[in-house]
Amino acid sequence: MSTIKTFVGTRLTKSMLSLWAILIVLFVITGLVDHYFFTVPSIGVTFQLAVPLGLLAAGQTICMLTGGIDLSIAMIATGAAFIVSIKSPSGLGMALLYAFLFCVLIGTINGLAVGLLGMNPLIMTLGMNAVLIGVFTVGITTFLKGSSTMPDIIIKLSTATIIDPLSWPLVLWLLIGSAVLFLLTKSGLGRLIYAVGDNATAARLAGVRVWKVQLAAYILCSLFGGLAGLMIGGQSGAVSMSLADSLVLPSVAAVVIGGTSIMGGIGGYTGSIMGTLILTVLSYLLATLNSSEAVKQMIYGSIVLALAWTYSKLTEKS
Amino acid sequence: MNKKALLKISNLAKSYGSVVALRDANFEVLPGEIHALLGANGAGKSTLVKILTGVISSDQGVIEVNGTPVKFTSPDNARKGGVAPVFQDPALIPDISIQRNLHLTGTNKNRFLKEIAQMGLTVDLNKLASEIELPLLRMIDLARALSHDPDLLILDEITAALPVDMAQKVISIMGQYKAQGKSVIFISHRLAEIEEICDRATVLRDGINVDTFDAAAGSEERIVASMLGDKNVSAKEHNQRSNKSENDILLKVEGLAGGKHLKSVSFEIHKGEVLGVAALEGQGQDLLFEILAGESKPSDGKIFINNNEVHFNHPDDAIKYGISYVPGDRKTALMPQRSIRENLALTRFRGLRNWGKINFRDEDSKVDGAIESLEIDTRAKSQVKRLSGGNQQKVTIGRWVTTGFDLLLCFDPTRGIDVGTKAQIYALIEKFANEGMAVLLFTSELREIQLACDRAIVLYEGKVQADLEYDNCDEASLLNAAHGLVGA
Amino acid sequence: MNSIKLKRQSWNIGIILIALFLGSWQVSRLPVFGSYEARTFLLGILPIALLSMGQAIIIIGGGINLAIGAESVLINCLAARFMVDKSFTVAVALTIFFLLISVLVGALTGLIISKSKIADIIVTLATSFILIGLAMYIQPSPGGGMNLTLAHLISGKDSAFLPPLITLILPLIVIWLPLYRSRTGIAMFAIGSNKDSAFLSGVNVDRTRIKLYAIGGLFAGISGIALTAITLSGSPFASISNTATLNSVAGAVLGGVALSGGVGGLTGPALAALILYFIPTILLNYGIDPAYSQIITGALTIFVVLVGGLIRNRGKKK
Repeated sequence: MSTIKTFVGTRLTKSMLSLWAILIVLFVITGLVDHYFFTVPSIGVTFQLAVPLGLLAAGQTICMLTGGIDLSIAMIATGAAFIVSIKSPSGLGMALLYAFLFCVLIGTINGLAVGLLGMNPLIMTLGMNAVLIGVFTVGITTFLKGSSTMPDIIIKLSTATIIDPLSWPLVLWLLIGSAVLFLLTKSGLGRLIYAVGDNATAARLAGVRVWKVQLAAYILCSLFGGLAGLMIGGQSGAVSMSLADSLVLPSVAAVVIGGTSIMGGIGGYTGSIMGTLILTVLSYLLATLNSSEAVKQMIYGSIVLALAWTYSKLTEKS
Repeated sequence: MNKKALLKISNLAKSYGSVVALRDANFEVLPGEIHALLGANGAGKSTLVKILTGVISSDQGVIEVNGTPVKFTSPDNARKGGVAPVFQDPALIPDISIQRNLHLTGTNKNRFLKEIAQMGLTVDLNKLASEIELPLLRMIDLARALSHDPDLLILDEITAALPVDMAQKVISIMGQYKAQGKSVIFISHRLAEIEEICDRATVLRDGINVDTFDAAAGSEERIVASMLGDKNVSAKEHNQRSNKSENDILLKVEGLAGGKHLKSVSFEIHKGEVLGVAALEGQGQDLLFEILAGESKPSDGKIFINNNEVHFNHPDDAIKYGISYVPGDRKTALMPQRSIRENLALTRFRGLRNWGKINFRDEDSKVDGAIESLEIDTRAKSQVKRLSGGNQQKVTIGRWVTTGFDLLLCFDPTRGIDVGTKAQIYALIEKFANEGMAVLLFTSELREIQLACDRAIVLYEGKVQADLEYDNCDEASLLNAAHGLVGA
Repeated sequence: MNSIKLKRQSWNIGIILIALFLGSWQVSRLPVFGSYEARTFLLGILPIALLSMGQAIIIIGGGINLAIGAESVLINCLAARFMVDKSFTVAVALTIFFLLISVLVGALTGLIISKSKIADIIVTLATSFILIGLAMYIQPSPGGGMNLTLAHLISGKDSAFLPPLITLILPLIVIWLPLYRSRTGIAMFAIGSNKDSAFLSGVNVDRTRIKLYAIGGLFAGISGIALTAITLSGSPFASISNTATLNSVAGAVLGGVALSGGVGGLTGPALAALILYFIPTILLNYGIDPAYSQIITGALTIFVVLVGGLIRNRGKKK
């Protein structure tokens, strides 16, 4: 029966198509509301603003595919940005190294706790988030005292336009995004990430050391969080404690809207990219609506919920 | 029929996607009757019970109680309609006390205590359900069901793995219940029990009721005949590979023990040999397989491979020694949302060294080879959960074909699988043996032993009760040994 | 001996001992300890204790509500906005009305989770945005107030420590005890413990979940009203709601509620709130940056969940 095949085929593309449809509709509405939106520089800026969320979503996608979640990702981002801004006087290389080590450390702790000690990922990362907030709140007045501006080169990489609408952050995203797609679809680790998320018992019975895969996932997630933090820092020029705060829910939402299940095992980064673009255009639209922050939050939450619901109904019948 | 049926079901059918669980079931239960429901695994018994008790709804068909059509929408609903089930896995909530469990189902506490007292048992109502041993928990579940005075009691394999005294208690309770004019549907694999207590028996096969007859003493033959049907499982006349036992010993197990049921098991298996394992439910066979697969640790005993003692901490260790495991429940081995390809290739990425770029050309050839040699139907290849049970089972075996192995542990690989696929799996096992690999095969269908194995061991109460050569592996001998009736 | 119950009892006794220890430490540091200080204690723990209890009910039922802090903030803002300068009778009527709203919000959340079959985490993350948006819409900036007579009735005045004690204990007696004994209460443990067995025992899983979210919402509502009575203002901040949510989870878990569901009670979480309160206060007394308390709270939550989990799943495979 080739019907089964066609059915499966259309079902998968149907969800992708609906993401495109949502994006285009949002895009057109935004353009109608704000004519400036359709200009090349504006599109460039929109893409540019999407990059940090896209990077956070990359980390979150990897984590959620294993059946986990990382709610400490925003503080990891903030932390990495802090470290780079403070250590930059002693050389960019050293600063980046410190930030990198910080990300690996936090990812390792999260990953080991979840993978080896069987911690609930939600609690682990929420708790880690609280610890990090505390550490950095204490830190900025003591051991992390110093510059709060980002190095110029990072500001440039986060904002500079090459040729409209192409900008350096977009180029970076294209490179990193391709790497993530490669990881998830063409590498052994990618296969294991899906396997662990779909059925950890099956993976173990097939000889996979499940905890190693989870550890790798949380470290990767942490690194993408750090990269996103540098970019947000670069885009805003300076760092603050609430640098990436507002991006935690969007990072989860972008992944969920993009069709990755929070239970793991199904989905991918392509969907998360679509989710990122949809949420970014949505933010732009809400910003142009000239409405208060309150209304924006309500609409934002409602649309995220509606999209997640639509998607789950769409893929439910199986 | 002179009496009006208490329960009458007609044309009941249920499918899960492409898998037909129940095709066309029809039978009647009379008032004051103990009616046995029999059938091989996957024949549709449990589906039928679930429909009767409102756990799931049927696709078609009619259920009538006392002549009026009913549709049970939930277990609560069925209970109020006079149908109460007791399952093999007691439906008590583990984290709350027995008292609160009774409250949840609206059971009268005094009535319950009376039932328990009549069974000659005592129960501390303040204990949590999770603190109580399984046999007693089943009796509690039974007493709870009885407290609701159902017209029809459904006992689903309640005596499986129950100690003899408890099982006898259940039997006598059924007798008393019948004396009150109530009815029981009794599901059991223990034929002796059925002959002892049941009035009539209905046999299901492939989702259809094939026979109903009086279950008097001596009806065993008829039961077995109708359970097996005329399935001439197309395995050719078993060509015994002659020089089996002279081959080298691949695996030797000495005094293996673990968990509650596995006491002390010793046996050896030769290269190129298919060793059957037969046992009733709960004799420790599942743990034996898990230990050999590195999934569980033994509390005692030794495992030798090629005369070297080995210790497994993780399935990966067993795999390195060439031991592959096909678990009884396909769901534990498969990634339901992933493709056939990813499921087949999973073991390729075990070590850190294989985390990098996938060698797609090599993977293609291995995966295609497995699909071809196992004749896996790839029409629904994008998600394994869409495959039929038989094809899913082929995928779990095929995974090890792509990996390579010396010893394949197959736990009931043909459970709930259609006849054609069963034959393919036997053929496959024979092929493995011919290529010099060894297979340890547990099957709950004793008939399969002579179809697929060269030799068999029978487990009883956690020990090897009998080690039978091929010629002695007939069903009767296996059954006797499985009941502990012949010495090793 | 009843080993599991003993284990649970020893957990609760441990919590009581730690609370007593921290409490006496704190008391010993004070020059005098009278009813005024007692009231200060109670006011410090009241909102978070109530919130932890609400979260506990939902977690026992196998869910988790990441919007519970937002529910509380919403009611806080509603109360502060509409109760300012109102007569006592009107204020009481409004209190009842707002509590009804909180029940409705909770029930709606439960309904969405049941109908959409989306994971609790996703739904409540999204609703937290909507609720905070609503709170900001109602009370755009901190302010408002409450009828003082009512406020004193809820949170006491000067050295009247009985009112806050009653506000803390009354819900336990009036809501929790009847709930625990009712069939819904047993169903709550049942669906959290094992959904399939619960269904076989005749529990309507969806309806029970909606009820639990509604009752959790009620606790969040009481917490919000109490917060208004204490601060005499409404504060529409996402950061408050996020911290409150984390603390509610920490309190529930610290109070012996298993994240996997089916196990726990409400007295534990109420006591755990004491611990969560004493740690920062004591640190503050020693002149230590209160940010450390965040570190300790986070680390403590992780530690508690870790130890609890290890005790429960001993011998589980990796």
